[in-house]
Amino acid sequence: MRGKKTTIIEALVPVAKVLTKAGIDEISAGYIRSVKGRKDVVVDIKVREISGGILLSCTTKRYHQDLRLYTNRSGEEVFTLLSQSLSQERFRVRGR
Amino acid sequence: MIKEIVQDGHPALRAKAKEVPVEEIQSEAIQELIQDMHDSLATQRDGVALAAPQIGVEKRIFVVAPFIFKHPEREKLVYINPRILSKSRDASWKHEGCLSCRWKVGEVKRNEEVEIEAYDENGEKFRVHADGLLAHIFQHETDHFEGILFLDKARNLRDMTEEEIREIQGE
Ligand SMILES: [Zn+2]
Repeated sequence: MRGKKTTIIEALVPVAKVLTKAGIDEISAGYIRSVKGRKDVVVDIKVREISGGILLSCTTKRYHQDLRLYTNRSGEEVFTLLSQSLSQERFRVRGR
Repeated sequence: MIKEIVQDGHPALRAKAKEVPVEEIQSEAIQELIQDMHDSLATQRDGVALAAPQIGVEKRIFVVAPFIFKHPEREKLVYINPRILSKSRDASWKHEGCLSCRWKVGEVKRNEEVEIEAYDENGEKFRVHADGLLAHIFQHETDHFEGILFLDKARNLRDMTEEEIREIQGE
Protein backbone atom coordinates (compact mmCIF):
# COMPACT_ATOMS: atom_id res chain seq x y z
CA MET A 1 0.00 0.00 0.00
CA ARG A 2 1.04 3.53 -0.60
CA GLY A 3 0.94 5.92 2.29
CA LYS A 4 2.60 8.66 4.15
CA LYS A 5 6.02 7.71 5.25
CA THR A 6 6.81 10.76 7.18
CA THR A 7 5.63 12.43 10.30
CA ILE A 8 5.24 16.14 10.73
CA ILE A 9 8.55 17.83 11.46
CA GLU A 10 9.04 19.30 14.90
CA ALA A 11 8.81 22.94 13.80
CA LEU A 12 5.38 22.33 12.28
CA VAL A 13 3.79 20.61 15.25
CA PRO A 14 2.19 23.89 16.46
CA VAL A 15 0.57 24.23 13.01
CA ALA A 16 -0.92 20.75 13.24
CA LYS A 17 -2.17 21.53 16.75
CA VAL A 18 -4.01 24.66 15.62
CA LEU A 19 -5.59 22.77 12.72
CA THR A 20 -6.65 19.76 14.77
CA LYS A 21 -8.17 22.03 17.42
CA ALA A 22 -10.24 23.68 14.69
CA GLY A 23 -11.50 20.27 13.56
CA ILE A 24 -9.19 19.84 10.57
CA ASP A 25 -7.68 16.51 11.46
CA GLU A 26 -7.12 14.81 8.14
CA ILE A 27 -3.59 16.04 7.60
CA SER A 28 -1.16 14.25 5.34
CA ALA A 29 2.49 15.11 5.79
CA GLY A 30 4.68 15.03 2.68
CA TYR A 31 8.32 14.16 2.32
CA ILE A 32 10.89 16.13 4.23
CA ARG A 33 13.46 17.84 2.06
CA SER A 34 16.45 19.66 3.45
CA VAL A 35 16.94 23.31 2.71
CA LYS A 36 20.45 24.69 2.39
CA GLY A 37 21.66 28.15 3.21
CA ARG A 38 18.44 29.54 4.65
CA LYS A 39 19.25 31.91 7.52
CA ASP A 40 15.69 32.98 8.30
CA VAL A 41 14.45 31.33 11.50
CA VAL A 42 10.80 32.24 10.83
CA VAL A 43 8.78 29.39 9.34
CA ASP A 44 7.12 30.28 6.02
CA ILE A 45 3.69 28.83 5.33
CA LYS A 46 2.08 29.26 1.93
CA VAL A 47 -1.62 28.44 1.84
CA ARG A 48 -3.08 27.23 -1.44
CA GLU A 49 -6.29 25.52 -2.48
CA ILE A 50 -5.86 22.20 -4.28
CA SER A 51 -8.42 19.71 -5.50
CA GLY A 52 -10.04 18.16 -2.46
CA GLY A 53 -8.38 20.35 0.10
CA ILE A 54 -5.66 22.78 1.03
CA LEU A 55 -1.92 22.59 0.54
CA LEU A 56 0.35 24.18 3.10
CA SER A 57 3.81 24.58 1.69
CA CYS A 58 6.07 25.01 4.71
CA THR A 59 9.72 26.02 4.89
CA THR A 60 11.66 26.10 8.12
CA LYS A 61 15.30 27.08 8.59
CA ARG A 62 16.46 23.59 7.63
CA TYR A 63 13.58 21.74 6.02
CA HIS A 64 10.73 21.94 3.55
CA GLN A 65 7.55 19.93 4.01
CA ASP A 66 4.10 20.06 2.43
CA LEU A 67 1.04 19.42 4.54
CA ARG A 68 -2.15 18.44 2.72
CA LEU A 69 -5.38 19.13 4.53
CA TYR A 70 -8.43 17.20 3.41
CA THR A 71 -11.17 19.62 4.40
CA ASN A 72 -14.08 21.58 2.98
CA ARG A 73 -12.76 24.86 4.43
CA SER A 74 -11.59 27.45 1.98
CA GLY A 75 -8.01 28.63 1.65
CA GLU A 76 -9.15 31.98 3.01
CA GLU A 77 -10.54 30.38 6.18
CA VAL A 78 -7.40 28.34 6.78
CA PHE A 79 -5.23 31.39 6.10
CA THR A 80 -7.18 33.44 8.67
CA LEU A 81 -7.13 30.62 11.21
CA LEU A 82 -3.37 30.17 10.97
CA SER A 83 -2.50 33.87 10.89
CA GLN A 84 -4.58 34.53 14.00
CA SER A 85 -3.49 31.48 15.97
CA LEU A 86 0.23 31.12 15.31
CA SER A 87 2.92 33.27 16.88
CA GLN A 88 4.05 35.95 14.42
CA GLU A 89 7.57 35.72 15.74
CA ARG A 90 7.83 32.12 14.65
CA PHE A 91 5.51 31.83 11.65
CA ARG A 92 4.84 33.86 8.52
CA VAL A 93 1.57 32.83 6.85
CA ARG A 94 0.92 33.84 3.27
CA GLY A 95 -2.04 33.32 0.96
CA ARG A 96 -1.88 33.09 -2.79
CA MET B 1 17.25 -8.88 -3.90
CA ILE B 2 15.18 -6.04 -5.31
CA LYS B 3 12.32 -7.35 -7.49
CA GLU B 4 10.13 -5.48 -9.89
CA ILE B 5 6.81 -4.40 -8.43
CA VAL B 6 4.24 -5.64 -10.94
CA GLN B 7 1.44 -3.39 -12.12
CA ASP B 8 -2.31 -3.75 -12.56
CA GLY B 9 -2.82 -6.17 -15.45
CA HIS B 10 -0.29 -8.72 -14.15
CA PRO B 11 -2.05 -12.06 -13.50
CA ALA B 12 -0.50 -12.51 -10.02
CA LEU B 13 -2.49 -9.50 -8.82
CA ARG B 14 -5.75 -11.19 -9.77
CA ALA B 15 -5.01 -14.71 -8.54
CA LYS B 16 -6.04 -16.19 -5.22
CA ALA B 17 -2.78 -16.46 -3.29
CA LYS B 18 -1.83 -19.73 -1.58
CA GLU B 19 -1.10 -20.30 2.09
CA VAL B 20 2.48 -21.00 3.09
CA PRO B 21 2.78 -24.38 4.87
CA VAL B 22 3.95 -23.46 8.39
CA GLU B 23 6.82 -25.96 8.26
CA GLU B 24 8.16 -24.15 5.18
CA ILE B 25 8.33 -20.70 6.78
CA GLN B 26 11.91 -21.15 7.87
CA SER B 27 13.01 -22.65 4.56
CA GLU B 28 15.61 -20.81 2.54
CA ALA B 29 13.12 -20.08 -0.23
CA ILE B 30 10.58 -18.36 2.02
CA GLN B 31 13.23 -16.48 4.01
CA GLU B 32 14.69 -15.23 0.74
CA LEU B 33 11.25 -14.21 -0.49
CA ILE B 34 10.65 -12.21 2.71
CA GLN B 35 14.01 -10.47 2.28
CA ASP B 36 13.19 -9.69 -1.37
CA MET B 37 9.90 -8.17 -0.28
CA HIS B 38 11.60 -5.95 2.30
CA ASP B 39 14.25 -4.92 -0.25
CA SER B 40 11.69 -4.13 -2.94
CA LEU B 41 9.43 -2.18 -0.59
CA ALA B 42 12.38 -0.12 0.62
CA THR B 43 12.93 1.23 -2.91
CA GLN B 44 9.49 2.88 -2.88
CA ARG B 45 9.47 6.26 -1.18
CA ASP B 46 5.73 6.14 -0.69
CA GLY B 47 5.48 2.44 0.16
CA VAL B 48 4.17 1.42 3.58
CA ALA B 49 3.48 -2.27 2.89
CA LEU B 50 3.88 -4.87 0.17
CA ALA B 51 2.18 -8.22 -0.54
CA ALA B 52 3.97 -11.13 -2.23
CA PRO B 53 1.69 -11.07 -5.34
CA GLN B 54 3.06 -7.57 -5.97
CA ILE B 55 6.40 -9.12 -6.85
CA GLY B 56 4.62 -11.83 -8.82
CA VAL B 57 4.56 -14.52 -6.10
CA GLU B 58 1.11 -15.91 -5.34
CA LYS B 59 1.66 -16.50 -1.63
CA ARG B 60 -0.10 -15.10 1.44
CA ILE B 61 2.70 -12.98 2.88
CA PHE B 62 2.90 -9.24 3.37
CA VAL B 63 5.54 -7.02 4.93
CA VAL B 64 5.19 -3.62 6.56
CA ALA B 65 7.78 -0.86 6.26
CA PRO B 66 9.63 -0.33 9.55
CA PHE B 67 9.51 3.48 9.45
CA ILE B 68 5.77 3.61 10.08
CA PHE B 69 6.51 2.58 13.67
CA LYS B 70 8.15 4.59 16.40
CA HIS B 71 9.87 1.46 17.71
CA PRO B 72 10.03 -0.94 14.75
CA GLU B 73 12.20 -3.42 16.66
CA ARG B 74 9.23 -4.11 18.94
CA GLU B 75 6.73 -4.60 16.10
CA LYS B 76 5.77 -7.38 13.73
CA LEU B 77 6.87 -6.53 10.18
CA VAL B 78 6.13 -9.88 8.47
CA TYR B 79 2.64 -11.39 8.24
CA ILE B 80 2.30 -14.90 6.86
CA ASN B 81 -1.12 -16.52 6.21
CA PRO B 82 -2.84 -13.59 7.95
CA ARG B 83 -6.47 -13.88 8.91
CA ILE B 84 -8.60 -10.95 9.95
CA LEU B 85 -10.41 -12.15 13.06
CA SER B 86 -12.61 -9.14 13.65
CA LYS B 87 -13.26 -5.62 12.43
CA SER B 88 -14.76 -2.71 14.33
CA ARG B 89 -18.23 -1.66 13.24
CA ASP B 90 -17.16 1.92 12.50
CA ALA B 91 -15.65 2.58 9.12
CA SER B 92 -14.77 5.60 7.02
CA TRP B 93 -13.66 6.49 3.53
CA LYS B 94 -9.86 6.73 3.56
CA HIS B 95 -7.39 8.01 1.02
CA GLU B 96 -5.66 5.06 -0.52
CA GLY B 97 -3.19 4.07 -3.20
CA CYS B 98 -1.27 0.99 -4.22
CA LEU B 99 2.29 0.45 -5.44
CA SER B 100 0.84 -1.80 -8.16
CA CYS B 101 -1.63 0.84 -9.41
CA ARG B 102 0.59 3.77 -10.33
CA TRP B 103 -0.43 6.59 -10.34
CA LYS B 104 -3.98 6.37 -9.07
CA VAL B 105 -5.53 7.53 -5.82
CA GLY B 106 -9.01 7.17 -4.46
CA GLU B 107 -11.00 6.65 -1.31
CA VAL B 108 -11.89 3.24 0.07
CA LYS B 109 -14.23 2.50 2.93
CA ARG B 110 -12.20 0.78 5.62
CA ASN B 111 -12.93 -0.30 9.16
CA GLU B 112 -11.21 1.69 11.89
CA GLU B 113 -9.94 -1.26 13.92
CA VAL B 114 -8.91 -4.74 12.94
CA GLU B 115 -7.68 -7.77 14.80
CA ILE B 116 -5.39 -9.99 12.80
CA GLU B 117 -3.75 -13.37 13.37
CA ALA B 118 -0.69 -14.44 11.40
CA TYR B 119 2.63 -16.24 11.53
CA ASP B 120 5.85 -14.25 11.72
CA GLU B 121 9.10 -15.01 9.89
CA ASN B 122 10.10 -17.48 12.62
CA GLY B 123 6.91 -19.48 12.24
CA GLU B 124 5.41 -18.12 15.48
CA LYS B 125 1.69 -17.45 15.52
CA PHE B 126 0.69 -14.03 16.88
CA ARG B 127 -2.26 -11.66 17.10
CA VAL B 128 -2.28 -7.90 16.67
CA HIS B 129 -5.08 -5.47 17.36
CA ALA B 130 -4.55 -2.41 15.19
CA ASP B 131 -6.12 0.94 14.50
CA GLY B 132 -5.04 3.87 12.32
CA LEU B 133 -2.64 3.28 9.45
CA LEU B 134 -1.83 -0.29 10.48
CA ALA B 135 -5.51 -1.33 10.48
CA HIS B 136 -5.80 0.30 7.06
CA ILE B 137 -2.74 -1.61 5.79
CA PHE B 138 -4.09 -4.96 7.07
CA GLN B 139 -7.28 -4.53 5.04
CA HIS B 140 -5.51 -3.39 1.87
CA GLU B 141 -2.88 -6.16 1.97
CA THR B 142 -5.25 -9.03 2.75
CA ASP B 143 -7.35 -7.93 -0.24
CA HIS B 144 -4.30 -8.60 -2.44
CA PHE B 145 -4.45 -12.30 -1.50
CA GLU B 146 -7.98 -12.51 -2.90
CA GLY B 147 -6.99 -10.84 -6.16
CA ILE B 148 -8.72 -7.60 -5.15
CA LEU B 149 -7.18 -4.21 -5.90
CA PHE B 150 -8.20 -0.96 -4.23
CA LEU B 151 -9.41 0.23 -7.65
CA ASP B 152 -12.26 -2.27 -7.39
CA LYS B 153 -13.60 -0.63 -4.24
CA ALA B 154 -12.60 3.00 -4.60
CA ARG B 155 -14.71 6.10 -5.08
CA ASN B 156 -13.37 9.43 -6.37
CA LEU B 157 -10.68 7.53 -8.22
CA ARG B 158 -8.30 9.86 -10.06
CA ASP B 159 -4.83 10.09 -11.54
CA MET B 160 -2.30 11.80 -9.34
CA THR B 161 -1.18 15.23 -10.45
CA GLU B 162 2.30 15.72 -11.84
CA GLU B 163 3.11 17.68 -8.74
CA GLU B 164 2.09 14.84 -6.45
CA ILE B 165 4.12 12.36 -8.47
CA ARG B 166 7.13 14.64 -8.47
CA GLU B 167 6.93 14.93 -4.72
CA ILE B 168 7.03 11.15 -4.37
CA GLN B 169 9.89 10.80 -6.79
CA GLY B 170 11.88 13.28 -4.80
CA GLU B 171 12.14 16.33 -7.01
ZN1 LIG C 1 -1.52 -2.67 -2.85
